This record gives sequence, C-alpha cells and structure tokens, in this order.
Amino acid sequence: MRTIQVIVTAACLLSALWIAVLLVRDRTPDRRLLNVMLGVEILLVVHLVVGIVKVTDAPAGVSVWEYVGYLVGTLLIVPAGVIWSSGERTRGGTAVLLVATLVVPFMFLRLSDIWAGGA
Amino acid sequence: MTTREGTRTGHGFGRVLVFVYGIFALAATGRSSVQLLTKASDAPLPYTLSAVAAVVYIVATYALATGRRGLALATVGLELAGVLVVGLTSLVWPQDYPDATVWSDFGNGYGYVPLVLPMVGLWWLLRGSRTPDRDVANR
Repeated sequence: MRTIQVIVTAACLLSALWIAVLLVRDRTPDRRLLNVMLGVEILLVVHLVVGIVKVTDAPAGVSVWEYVGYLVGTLLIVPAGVIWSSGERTRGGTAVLLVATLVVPFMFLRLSDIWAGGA
Repeated sequence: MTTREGTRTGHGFGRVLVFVYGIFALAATGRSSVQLLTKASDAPLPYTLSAVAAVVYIVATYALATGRRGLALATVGLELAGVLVVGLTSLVWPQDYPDATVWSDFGNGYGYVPLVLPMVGLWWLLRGSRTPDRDVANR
C-alpha cells in the first residue's frame, strides 16, 4: 500500500509540474498526460482493493467507515477532474487537472491520519 | 440570471472553483454522514455543523456551476460567516467542540482551504459582475 502511494504521489507531483508548464504556455493537456492520469487511476483501483483488505484487520480506534470513504473518494478525484476539465478546453479547464493531481496525495495524508486514529 | 450574464460563474477560473467546491461538497457530505450515522450522540453540535457545511458546499457548487449568481453569493457568504464563526468559537470554547468539523480552527485540518475558498469565491463572483463581456470571453 505504501509503495502504491509513493508511486502515485510521484506521478501526481510530476503531472502537477507538467500541468503548471501547460498552464503557463496556455496549452491544453496532451495525450501523454492523460495516459499518466489513467495509470494513476489504475493504481488507485489496486490501492482501493489493498486498502479494503488492510482495513478488515484494522487495530481498534481506526474509523473503518471513514477510511473506506477516503479510499473511495480518492478513486473519484481523477476521473471527476478529467471529465470536468474536458468540458472546457481552456486554461481554467486545465487548472482543474492541477487541483485533481494535488488533492490525491493529500488524501493519502488523511488516510494515514485516520489509520493513526487521529482523523 | 441564467442567461450569459449568469452562466459565466462556472467558466474560466470558475471552472476550477466549481471543482474545488465539488470536492468539499463530497468531503463534507461524507464526513458528516459518517459522523451522524456512527456516533451522532458523541458531539451533536460539531456534527450538526458538519452537516450544515455539507449542505452549504453542495448548494454553492450547484449555484456556481449553473451560473446562479445570487444563490452563489448567498451560499459563499454563508460559508465565510460559518468558517469565521466556527473557527473563532472553536478556539474560544473548545469544550463545545469535542470533535472537529470542516470549519474548526478556521479549517486548519484542510490546510486552511475552507477559510481561503469563500474569500476567493466572493472575489470571483464580485469581480465577474464588473468585468466587460470581451474580457471574460478571452479567459
């Protein structure tokens, strides 16, 4: 699970950097970026499955529903961002992808918080 | 209201704003549902406030996306008032907040985005109403 999170975080941050370049140059997302985001999404599906297996064995104090909620929520961000972004092929639309790629690593932080019993 | 004048709130920079509001609508809805369904009696006040915040975010997202400027101004204004009041009271009377809401401590659990978001939202809504058509079309 940790490995998936590290890979996805790296991919997201690299994508964010690339999107920032696109924004500055006022370009719309290219095929390669969308492929990376597809890869991220596939890994997030694996992440969801691994996470659900892991949470069945969670130590006391971990809010299981909150954890599963965040796992599912994390899965929704990238597709929602891509769909919402494609509705308007402008700088604003591209910036939606930037937000999406930055929110995913943040969700991982929340997941660790919930696991630590903090929430 | 729903003609060109209004629909602009969800375009250009507004597109990003709608997305961020959508994420918060989802997050706040999820959070308050979990809280109210699993432990409503633990901390009724914060959990009720979480539910209120969820409704505010949902309506704000809808209003911004569909260009209902009046409704958007009202909900974003309410959101700013909410985060300021809850933020302040959660610092002054922490005993009334045994568990956190989205707006507790000015939203520091969410990187202060809940505090900044309504300000950006108001800026966008009020600015957009003054901007000439040509400018907006170029965004």
